[in-house]
Amino acid sequence: MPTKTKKKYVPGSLGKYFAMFVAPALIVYLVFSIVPFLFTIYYSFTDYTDMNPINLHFTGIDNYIKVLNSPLMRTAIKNSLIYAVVLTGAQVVLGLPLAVILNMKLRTRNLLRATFFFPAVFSSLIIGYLWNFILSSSNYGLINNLLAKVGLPTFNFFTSQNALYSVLLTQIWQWTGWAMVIFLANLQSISGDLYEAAEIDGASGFTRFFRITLPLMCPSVKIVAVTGLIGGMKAFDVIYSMTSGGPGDATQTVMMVMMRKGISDGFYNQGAAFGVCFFVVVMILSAIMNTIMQKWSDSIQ
Amino acid sequence: MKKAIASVLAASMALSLAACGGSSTATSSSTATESTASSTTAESTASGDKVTLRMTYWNSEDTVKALLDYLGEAVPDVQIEYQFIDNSNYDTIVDTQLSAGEGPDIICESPASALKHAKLGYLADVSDLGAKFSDAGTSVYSYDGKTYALPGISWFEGIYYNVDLFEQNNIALPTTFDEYLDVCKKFQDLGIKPLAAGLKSWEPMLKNSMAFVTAEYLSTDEGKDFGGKYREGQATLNGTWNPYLEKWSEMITSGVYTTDMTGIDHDQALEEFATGNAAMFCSGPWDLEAIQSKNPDLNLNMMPFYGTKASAGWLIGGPGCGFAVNENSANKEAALKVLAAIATEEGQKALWENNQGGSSYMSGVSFDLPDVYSSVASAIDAGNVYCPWNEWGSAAGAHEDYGTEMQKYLLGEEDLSTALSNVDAAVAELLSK
Repeated sequence: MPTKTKKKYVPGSLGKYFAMFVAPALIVYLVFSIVPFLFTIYYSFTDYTDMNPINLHFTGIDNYIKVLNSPLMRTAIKNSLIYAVVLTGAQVVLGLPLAVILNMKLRTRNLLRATFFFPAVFSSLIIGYLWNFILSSSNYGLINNLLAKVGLPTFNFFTSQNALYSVLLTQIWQWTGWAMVIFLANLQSISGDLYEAAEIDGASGFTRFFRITLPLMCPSVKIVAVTGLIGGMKAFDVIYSMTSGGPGDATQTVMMVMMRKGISDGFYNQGAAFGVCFFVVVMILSAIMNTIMQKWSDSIQ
Repeated sequence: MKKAIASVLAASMALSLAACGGSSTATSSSTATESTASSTTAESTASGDKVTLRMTYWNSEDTVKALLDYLGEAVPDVQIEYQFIDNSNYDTIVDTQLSAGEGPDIICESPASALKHAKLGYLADVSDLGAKFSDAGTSVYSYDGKTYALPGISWFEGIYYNVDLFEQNNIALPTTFDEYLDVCKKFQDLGIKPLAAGLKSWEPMLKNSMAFVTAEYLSTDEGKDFGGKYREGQATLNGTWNPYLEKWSEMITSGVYTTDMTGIDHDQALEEFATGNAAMFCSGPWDLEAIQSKNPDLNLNMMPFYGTKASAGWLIGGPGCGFAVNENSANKEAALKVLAAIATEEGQKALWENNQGGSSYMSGVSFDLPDVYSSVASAIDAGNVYCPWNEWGSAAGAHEDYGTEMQKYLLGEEDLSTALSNVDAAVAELLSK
């Protein structure tokens, strides 16, 4: 983008300093993102493994066929998609009402805001280890211990069916407060006059929320949705600390499989091909998101 | 315009994301060299005329402290600079350094990585020194008839048991698999959890089931060549191991392993055992300190795994990290001298100092077994310590797949033959590299 805007400047006004300002960011971005990505694409067409680190040969789309035929990699993409969509959805659905409530004139407003935001301060890795103890089915598991004391049957949070959603539960708990803060900032920019006018017209609380608040929240929903989706797709640390992808392959995500196949097992080529496939999936997802959001903001205006 | 910016932004976010996922192999070399550089400058200035050798290992310096002290005296003209690299990155970093013709002078290798590096010609032939060790130790570090690493002190895993719980309830130690199940039944009837297991990890069922297959099949005349055939792609688990694992599955049907245990991790299981809430716990010497620090009064001992027939029992285990020399090292001679010093009785003793419980593979060197392992003494004396996947050659990494497939089997996601054929597929893929 900066290169595009360069044309606009009259030579001498900022022109010669421009390169100086852009260079550091551009170089870092080139060296650490663009070049490795191009290498990744290159490796994905070769026979690069830990057993063959030097003499690379072109292998066509072999690696891509292997990736698409691998049940583990398909499971990983499926899990990552579920994870990203549920996490983003929950952030919006829970965070938005929470923000509206905490935007009201409550006495404990600031305390509550801080409380809900608090979990987002910690690293997901730590949160994962903590929830491990809360959800454990051993005698020390906080929830199961309580259930047992009340005489209810205990619950295993880490079966094939439950594990992914148990991890999601912790992440929703952790990140809803963060979404709330973004929504709050947006809410505070909505003029009170609109609500006053609506009140005079006799609009109920619900009507006001759906007719005024929600449409004007479009920008912040967009931010939460895009960051949530992309953050969800690359989930690694919390999975690593809570389940390590298990039991079985129930919580394998894209990043977990990439680490295992592409690094630990030494299939650098397949890891690269998987990365490229993943890039395409995220691109498509982002495009869909953008279209939906664009439609929404168009319909408001 | 806004739309365009938004999509470019989204795309670039996705791009950087895909790049950091796929390219870690490319960037790891730079981090690796960085860490080397920083540690070299720290030490080399102080060493004077001494040759500085770099040694890498995935365990902390504490685990080889006595050995390093000993080497300081035994090889005075060499200064060893110890570099710890975390296990999860170890292979990647060492692989990258070696493929660049650099890397540590002395490399601690697992059997799988030793084989890989030997095949690629990165390791010096240490067959002469290897001759001082028993075949059981050097076989996993051999390739093409030559030895490429000296076996370290052995590791083993058995079943820790709470002696008091056994004695108070008049329960005798089992000597066969069926007796073991009876023991578990007795504890269940008493309302005591027989076996604490952190099945959130793939490891416990891997070792427990493989120990049974070892006792029933791999140690027999019929099965002793299985590992060798398996790594050549001439045998499969599915169709071979099924009957033994069907029998072993009584661990699941009798409720010793339950699906609830997938919600418990290793540390939590250890805690259950240490606090007397479970009668047994499968682990090795590396957990002894943790168990005893949680409950210093616990009276514990270790028993081996059993097959259906009476035997001395079996332990899962094998040679610990192998010491190898980098073929391309500028100080290869000095590094070989260090290995020669390790291959002495004093060297083995120093190595054992921080790995008590294990035994040396060097002929004529033996150490006292600490009392806490007295119930596995006969199994160790009989040489019944075996690690099946150490024989799988370059497919050894698939033991993790085996563990995860067993989790799926436990949870009823798939049947035994599907689980085993999935492992076979993973092995075939690794062998195809």
